[in-house]
Amino acid sequence: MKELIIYIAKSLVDEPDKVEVAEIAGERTVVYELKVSKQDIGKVIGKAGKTAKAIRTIVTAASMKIGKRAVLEILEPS
Amino acid sequence: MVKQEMEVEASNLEEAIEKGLKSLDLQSRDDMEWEVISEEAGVKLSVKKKETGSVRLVREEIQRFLEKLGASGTVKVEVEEDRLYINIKTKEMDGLLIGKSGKNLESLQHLLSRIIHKKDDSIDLIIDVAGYRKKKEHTLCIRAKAFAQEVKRSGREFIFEPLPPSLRRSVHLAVSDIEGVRTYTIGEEDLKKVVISPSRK
Repeated sequence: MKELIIYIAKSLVDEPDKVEVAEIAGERTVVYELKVSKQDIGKVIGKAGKTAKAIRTIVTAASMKIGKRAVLEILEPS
Repeated sequence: MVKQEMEVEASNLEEAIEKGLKSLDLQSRDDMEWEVISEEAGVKLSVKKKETGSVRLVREEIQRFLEKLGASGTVKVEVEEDRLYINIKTKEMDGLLIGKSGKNLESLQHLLSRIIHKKDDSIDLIIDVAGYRKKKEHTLCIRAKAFAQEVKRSGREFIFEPLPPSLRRSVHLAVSDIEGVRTYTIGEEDLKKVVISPSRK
């Protein structure tokens, strides 16, 4: 799953080297925190959040297949 | 439709290549790949149309995506008039990728378009899973034509349910050659609807 999120994010941004994904495992849910460079944040969120929504949909579909809930958080770059 | 791949036989290599070009409806040898299968009693070749750069780019990118997704499956790319039609078939994820009334498919379309446009933004592509969209386009066309006749008869407008861009396009196209009606779009973002309206006031 982490690999999938990294692949998607890197495919969308201008600075793939700045893509980071942290995995925080809970009992039933795994949270993935995605970080990209400041100038790339718009690329992973998209117009009216459309791209972020699309990534979440795909992550949810993939998590249903393996039977563990996955949540994607996109972190605001500091 | 001309086949993409086949076997040809001739008495020598030159003739076999020519035969292959003819069967695949190709002009130049540069557009064909071939492999010698046997050379006993004449030459037998397996010939194949070469993929264009954009077809290969799209197919490889989507295969990589499926791999990362943990889905094994096939990616078929067809060159249509003004777009590439990509039909994805997986072993066990088709339902998840299509989603409730095709909702997940729209996300997949958006995401894969973004990923591919990052590499080449001149490619127009339409993503399908297990032929779902093709079927939906077909029924939508039939409905649109029937509604157009009703609009013509009654003189009253008909408003479709909200549809994604590619399906709105299908409705516009289906009705475009029917006289006495016109189409336009209302609404915003995800709630855009096509209206079929009488063209004479």
